[in-house]
Amino acid sequence: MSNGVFREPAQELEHLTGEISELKDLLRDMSKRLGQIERHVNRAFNVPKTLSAKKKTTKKSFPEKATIDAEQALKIFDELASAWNTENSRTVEDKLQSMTVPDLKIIAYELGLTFKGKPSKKALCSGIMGRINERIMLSKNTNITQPKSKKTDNSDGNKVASSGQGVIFKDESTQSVGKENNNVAENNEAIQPNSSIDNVPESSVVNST
Amino acid sequence: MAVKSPKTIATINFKGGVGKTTVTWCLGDVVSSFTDSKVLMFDLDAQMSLTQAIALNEGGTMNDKFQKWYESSIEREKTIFDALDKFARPRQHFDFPVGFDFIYQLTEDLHFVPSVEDLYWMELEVFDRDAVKDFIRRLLGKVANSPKLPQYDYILFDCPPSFTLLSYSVLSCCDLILIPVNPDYFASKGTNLILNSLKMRIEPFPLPKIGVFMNKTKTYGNSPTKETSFYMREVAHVCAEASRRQTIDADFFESWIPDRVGVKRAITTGGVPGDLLEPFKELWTEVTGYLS
Ligand SMILES: Nc1ncnc2c1ncn2[C@@H]1O[C@H](COP(=O)(O)OP(=O)(O)O)[C@@H](O)[C@H]1O
Ligand SMILES: [Mg+2]
Repeated sequence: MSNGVFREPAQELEHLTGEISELKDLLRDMSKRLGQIERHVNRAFNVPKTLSAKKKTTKKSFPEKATIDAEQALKIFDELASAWNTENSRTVEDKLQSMTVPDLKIIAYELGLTFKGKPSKKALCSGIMGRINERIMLSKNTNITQPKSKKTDNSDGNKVASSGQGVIFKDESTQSVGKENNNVAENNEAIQPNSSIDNVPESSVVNST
Repeated sequence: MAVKSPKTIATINFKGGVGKTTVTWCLGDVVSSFTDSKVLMFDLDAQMSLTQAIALNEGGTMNDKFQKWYESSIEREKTIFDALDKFARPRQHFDFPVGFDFIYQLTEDLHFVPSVEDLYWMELEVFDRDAVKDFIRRLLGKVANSPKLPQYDYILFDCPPSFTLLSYSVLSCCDLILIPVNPDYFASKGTNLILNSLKMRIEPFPLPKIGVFMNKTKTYGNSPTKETSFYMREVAHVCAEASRRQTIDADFFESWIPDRVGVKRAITTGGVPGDLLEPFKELWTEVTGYLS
């Protein structure tokens, strides 16, 4: 097939490469021309640089992208909750504050938090703090074997978590209260046989901004 | 004579309204209708929700057949309260023959022991705890040995939302404690409490297995919402922690029962609604797997 009318594969390749580089030159020219036009327009109509350039605005938050996915969000939540136990609550709040709104939104979403309208960073943070509170409270051990003398005071407003271990199981009184509340459907206020858990984390209840 | 003893399951939670009564009834219905098992259901709640629901037909009219039977069982002193009364009498033989004057047949395979308001008296100092603790165990022995009664495969108890003497008596002899929770803070909060206090209260008896599951699951599509999932994870975590810390066996079930308005009419219309059938079957499969 060597001396036929058709090009050898090597020649064919050379031919195509030539065509491609021609096209590339054309595109480069076009892009150069487009760049010139853009610069011209910008100067002629005084378009601010930030809008025309690719640079991201830092002022507005909406173009900002979340940097975490659902799984990471839940992991961060776990870490924050255990940090709340070991470090102080400020550290946790600071950590939340340092995160971006889109990341906070992902966490809030994964925790099933809902907001009326677009939530502020503050609302997101306090919602997440609320969930952390709930976790701590839910697993708090209401230990009835512990002597009364060791009972810790829960007066420390928000930070019920660290005071743990101190709730005395009120026996007789709550049994009758429980009874009155029986079958009151969807009655969230139904009393637990535990008098001191009424410290419900605010943000789990108040879901709005 | 090979008497296969029935598996006993008590539904309890200190919180009212989580679905103890609904779930007990739905399981009774699903298991008796869709398996070959015979089920006996007890209403131990003095509030009598289950008994009253059964006494009503759709539209709120009285179920005459049940009503007549119920009145005569009271007349003939064949209620659960009479049984307890006989049992707790000091120095007397527990003389209380059981038959279909004590047990009402809802269907061929689903039988029922209703509650009576007199059970309220239990909370006063009428009976003392030690005198009552063996009551249910002995009563079940009578049921198992009665020639007039069938052999039940499962016995379900709808317990009151508090630690009454009767629930104490059930919990100290049952095979499984079934705890429904709901996807909200208050209902979930009770889990840790109940796990801890169950242990305190039932000692020195061995604590039965405990199964916790989510009822009234809010769904989006066919999955729990993110919020419900949050509570599921947390309650599962509480169960795992309690099992690790103490000598209890608490399992959070993977199956869940969705929140469906149709369930409200399930008892009076005599059937678990179609869209809840699968969830209850799945729950039951997990229950029996856990029990065996
Ligand atoms: N899966 C469910 N979906 C919707 N409503 C439910 C569900 N389970 C229970 N309910 C409703 O919740 C209310 C309380 O249920 P009930 O079984 O009486 O609770 P408890 O016995 O724990 O007090 C009832 O109105 C019942 O119809
Ligand atoms: Mg009930």
